[in-house]
Amino acid sequence: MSSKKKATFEEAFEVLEKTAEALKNESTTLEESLKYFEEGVKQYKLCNDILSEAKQKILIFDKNTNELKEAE
Amino acid sequence: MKPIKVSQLNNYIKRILQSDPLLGNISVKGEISNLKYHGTGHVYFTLKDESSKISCFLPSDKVKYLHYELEDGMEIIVSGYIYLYDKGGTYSINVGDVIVEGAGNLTVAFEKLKEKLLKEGLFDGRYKKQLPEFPNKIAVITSDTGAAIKDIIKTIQNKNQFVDIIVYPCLVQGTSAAADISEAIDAVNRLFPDVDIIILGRGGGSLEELWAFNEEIVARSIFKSKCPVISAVGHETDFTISDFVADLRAATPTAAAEIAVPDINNLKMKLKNYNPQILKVEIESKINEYSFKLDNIVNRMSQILKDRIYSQELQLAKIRSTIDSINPKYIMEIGYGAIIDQDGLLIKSISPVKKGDLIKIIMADGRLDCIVEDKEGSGLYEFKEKSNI
Repeated sequence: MSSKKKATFEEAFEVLEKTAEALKNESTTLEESLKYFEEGVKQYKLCNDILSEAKQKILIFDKNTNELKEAE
Repeated sequence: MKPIKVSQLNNYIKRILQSDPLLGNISVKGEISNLKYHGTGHVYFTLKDESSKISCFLPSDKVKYLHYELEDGMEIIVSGYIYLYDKGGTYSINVGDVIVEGAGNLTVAFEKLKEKLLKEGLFDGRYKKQLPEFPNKIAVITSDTGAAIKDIIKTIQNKNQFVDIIVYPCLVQGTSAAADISEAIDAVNRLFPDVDIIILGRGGGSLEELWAFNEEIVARSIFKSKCPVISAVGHETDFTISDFVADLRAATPTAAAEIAVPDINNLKMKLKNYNPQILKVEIESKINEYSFKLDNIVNRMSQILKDRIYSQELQLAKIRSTIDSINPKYIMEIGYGAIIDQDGLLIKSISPVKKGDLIKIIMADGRLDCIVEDKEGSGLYEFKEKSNI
């Protein structure tokens, strides 16, 4: 579960940075720019969603039951 | 006196020695010599001073509680009891605990272990793992009571509201702590392989209280850990072996929490820079640039074309006026006539013409037939064939 989240955020952010760079680059053609833009919008939304999620969980491992329990 | 057997004598001595309360609980200082780590795990050595010596036996099950390796020449204090080996007629100290004399027993042990692990390469930079920038799950291994865990959680929550936290409680001081800490690190790696960072630590304390984090078993677990470990033991100035082996050292548990997670607000600000609205601006400016270039080219092309047409027209007009200027029709219209002879050839000079010849004058509107009456002039003018008008 968390590794999916991790790959998504870090990768998404990286794609976003690359997109901005490519758009600023003079040698990028118009067609390429439009493709980059589309991709950038997707990744931006993804990152934004993750950051606003704020569903933090705090769990404590109980050695007696070998289970994770929610902390109070 | 009736003689007794050897075994009876030794038995008697044994009873006396081993029933003496003082000899049952002794603390003796001396220097180690003839140290032998036996294959069975037991340790044998001789404890001596300037004039005397006694054999010592350290059972294998006590050895693991030693904080350090014993060496010949070390000044130590042993505690234990007197044991009589009646079959051999010898006695020795059965050792329960060993304290190393000198400038801080624990400091000596610390230096020894540090050197040993350093030589093995456990502190090498190339084994240290990078901490992920955007962790999703963090495990905190520490005491579940005490201030450290509360501080860590609070610090994380303030900075970052999406990282999940798993607390794996363990002992952080006392003789069983080292084994417990080591087990905790191993367990987290085994049970929660998706944890991104382990924070291992405890609050401040004396060297004895922090000692568990200087134990070899903890160091090895940290080294083995597939998950990166931040070691956060005690205060700023406390350096433990855990700190050296870990992938990163934090001065305090709170500092560890700070390092481990990125600030959500920072991330949000960074993200703002990549807002599609801003990106769109880049695209629009690109489009404008192309559009502008295109217009430019078209304008230039049409201008060039116009210029060329114009210059062609100029040339044409020039040629036209040149042609016009040698068109006899216009010449004739202003009063000039072409003079031709009987054969119809143009007469260009007076020389071949004689008085009485018949000549014809072609004018713009007709022809005149004439007879030459007289002529005047030198007649030497040579009319060039080609006109260079």
